[in-house]
Amino acid sequence: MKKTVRISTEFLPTSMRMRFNVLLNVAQTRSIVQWEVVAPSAADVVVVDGMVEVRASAVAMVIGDAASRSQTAQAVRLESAYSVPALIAALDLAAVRVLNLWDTHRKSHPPEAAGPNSTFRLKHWVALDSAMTSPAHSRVLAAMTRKGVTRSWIVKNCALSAPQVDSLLGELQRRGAVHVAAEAEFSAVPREDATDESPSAFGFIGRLKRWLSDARSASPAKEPHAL
Amino acid sequence: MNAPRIVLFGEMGIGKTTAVRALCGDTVVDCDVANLDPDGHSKPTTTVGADFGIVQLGNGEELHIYGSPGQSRFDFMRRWLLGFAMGVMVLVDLADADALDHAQQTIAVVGELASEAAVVVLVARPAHPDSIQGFAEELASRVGWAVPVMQIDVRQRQQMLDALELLVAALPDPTY
Repeated sequence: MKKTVRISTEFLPTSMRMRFNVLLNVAQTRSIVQWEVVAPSAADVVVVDGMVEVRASAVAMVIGDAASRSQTAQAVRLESAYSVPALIAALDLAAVRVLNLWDTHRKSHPPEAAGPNSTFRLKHWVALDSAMTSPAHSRVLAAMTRKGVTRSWIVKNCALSAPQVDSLLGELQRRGAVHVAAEAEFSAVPREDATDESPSAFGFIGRLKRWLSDARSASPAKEPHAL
Repeated sequence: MNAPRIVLFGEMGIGKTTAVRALCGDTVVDCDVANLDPDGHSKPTTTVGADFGIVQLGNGEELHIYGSPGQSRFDFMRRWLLGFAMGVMVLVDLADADALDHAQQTIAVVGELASEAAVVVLVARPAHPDSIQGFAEELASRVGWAVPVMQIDVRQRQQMLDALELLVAALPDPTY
């Protein structure tokens, strides 16, 4: 099974982006990896026309001759009048560089093996792809900001299925955004049985959550006016 | 009894008054007056004192929402505002070169005066996702924990409800 590498064409001018996306659909059938088009913040490869800086953790694919001064040696070049074979070659080169980056990252950040009692804590806030932007996903991230939480705690408390939780934790690990530790490392790990049935669910926070739920389902607020 | 409160911080003109109104609707008291500092900001009015709105939770229970005045001469008011704060929203504009410093300083003040309060940073002006991600990573490295960062249009009530829900989820110890 091919590995999936994420690519963003969002920085390209519209006409260039349309052409690239069309040819990408053709080229990716012969590429060494599977390509998924995503937002720049989540991309492993960012396609630019030479005028946009690309963050260091991604590989830049630069179309045209006008390379930005800041594009590193890691950048993959593609002529303006590129053909499908040239695109396939560029995609494969970019994929190899991404796989190398992943390998380097794995070596410099030893894999944090997650056991059943492992806890997960965010290193920094992350904007996730559209498939992971539900309120439940946000609640998981929020819970992970200041304390480590276990997988089973998330499944029990955050209205996500076990596969959804695994997918989320996998994505966070892939992006290097989560610290995995043995449960004992964090003093504030919630109890496994600390669910929304806990007393706080019936206190002020519980009433505030109910108000939020009601407010969402209510019609838009009337135009406010100052008293 | 003092009601739990949420306090909005941000530079002058960032949209704190609008955000309070989006959450509280009619139950808002504002203190807008003509802006006598047109060199500092071009908006026609500005807030002196604190915006104040009430979220009625039922059975007489209330959540108070305050917008802290943006001008630095009102810094003394922050201590009072944070006195019963369960949460803080920090509104920033990433086009402002001082946005990161402002957020870091505000979070430090919250840590000092309301250590149990949850904090979220709201990017209140359009910004590219990469910029927001870079901001979130740099802010986390500065303050030592993963501060939630969310892009928002403060005029949109649903988005303010999203922000409030995120703030509630980020409460370190929901014992209220």
